[in-house]
Amino acid sequence: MLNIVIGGSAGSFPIVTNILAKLDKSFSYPMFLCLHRLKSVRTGFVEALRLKSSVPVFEPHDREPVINGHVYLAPANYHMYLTKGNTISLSTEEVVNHSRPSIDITFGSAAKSFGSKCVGILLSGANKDGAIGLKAMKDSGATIIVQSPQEAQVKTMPMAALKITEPDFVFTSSQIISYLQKLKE
Amino acid sequence: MEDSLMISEEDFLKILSAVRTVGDIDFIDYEPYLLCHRFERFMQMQGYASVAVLIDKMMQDKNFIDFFLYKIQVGTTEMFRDPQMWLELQKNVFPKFSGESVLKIWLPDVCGDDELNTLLILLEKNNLLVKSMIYATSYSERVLDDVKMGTIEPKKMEVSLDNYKQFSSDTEFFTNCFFKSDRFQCLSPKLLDKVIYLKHNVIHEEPPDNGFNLIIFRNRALYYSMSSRKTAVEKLYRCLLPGGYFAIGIGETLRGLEQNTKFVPISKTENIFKKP
Repeated sequence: MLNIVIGGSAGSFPIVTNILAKLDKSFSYPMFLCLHRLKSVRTGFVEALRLKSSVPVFEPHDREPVINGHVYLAPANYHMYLTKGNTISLSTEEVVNHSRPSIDITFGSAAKSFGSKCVGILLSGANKDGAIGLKAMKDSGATIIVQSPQEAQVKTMPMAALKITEPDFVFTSSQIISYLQKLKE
Repeated sequence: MEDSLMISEEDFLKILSAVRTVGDIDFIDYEPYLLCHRFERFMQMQGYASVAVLIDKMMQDKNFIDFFLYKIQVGTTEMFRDPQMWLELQKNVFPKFSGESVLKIWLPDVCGDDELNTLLILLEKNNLLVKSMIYATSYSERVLDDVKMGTIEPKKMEVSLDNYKQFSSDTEFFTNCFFKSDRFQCLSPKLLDKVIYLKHNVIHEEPPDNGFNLIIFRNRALYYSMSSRKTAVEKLYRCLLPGGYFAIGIGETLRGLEQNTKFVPISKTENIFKKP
């Protein structure tokens, strides 16, 4: 079973909402979203993602069992780990790259837990969080995709990843959507 | 994070075995996934290239294990984390304590002073501190020594004040709870004097007292194994007074613990519960 893990920061929200809107209702893989967000704003984000999403979106609790076809958004002020036991663990560890949730943490845990059974996607953002985690995923055999810096609203994050690893694909947002749609086939 | 460093399952087990041998501590009580990440982070911070270097340090230097155990603990993040939870406590729980002559409160497995400081400030603000008896317990003497100091770094003070502003506009009250010492802010001894500090392992030992009115156990069980979490929460339930309150982190649940605990939710969003 494939696991889809997406990281993003500034400029990624419209892309993520577009992805969720265009997924088929029968999309059968679990998807994990680690998006930088204000720690003080706990409500509103997941609700905004749900508005146009064709698949269910949740903020998981600690040790939440993962269900195929569901989307899990890292909660505010917690790191989100993906585990081999098909559950989600949360942590209040130190901020990484000024972020909690940190994309490096989520991607790094995906590398360790899922190995090649994973697709990692890094979107627009204003810092380098996610680059090291994406490299770890690549080193573990996952397929990795970086949003085209030319298209990204803020290209720092995709550029940081491209500096240290060679992705399988550099895609525009519409190519990312098309790739995910084809996965179900 | 300088670069990805991943400890293999085999190396992870080697570290556990070394800690058991040298420190007489069995990490079976802890969530292996997060524990492994703590080991990785420690090695990165210390610049160790391999697990062999770490194990060698443990075996060669008898003081090293204390340092290691101290460093891998996950501290708390800031004061007044989740201001809504503290508001809820003030609004819906504290008024229930008005008739009590003594308030017994326990913070098990403290791992930093943020939750304790927040509680002390809140009790003082609500004129409840004077009749409070607060237990702060940890299995680590070093952590307790840190907590007793009550010193706050400038950066953390800034973040905490921001949180407090969401809680109350009376920032003068907050700042008056501290005095300046060198570059740190320190919590007033008047507040800290109400705390009883004890070395205590919440998983393996019996509670330090009984009849608690309130137990705050937020984000500590995230790092426990499922069975240790069950053991700890059931113990905490038993030592609460009927009608006593229990708070866990907003990212946590009591799912799977319903058989031996009958907590009733007081606030579902802020994860505050009551023992019937």
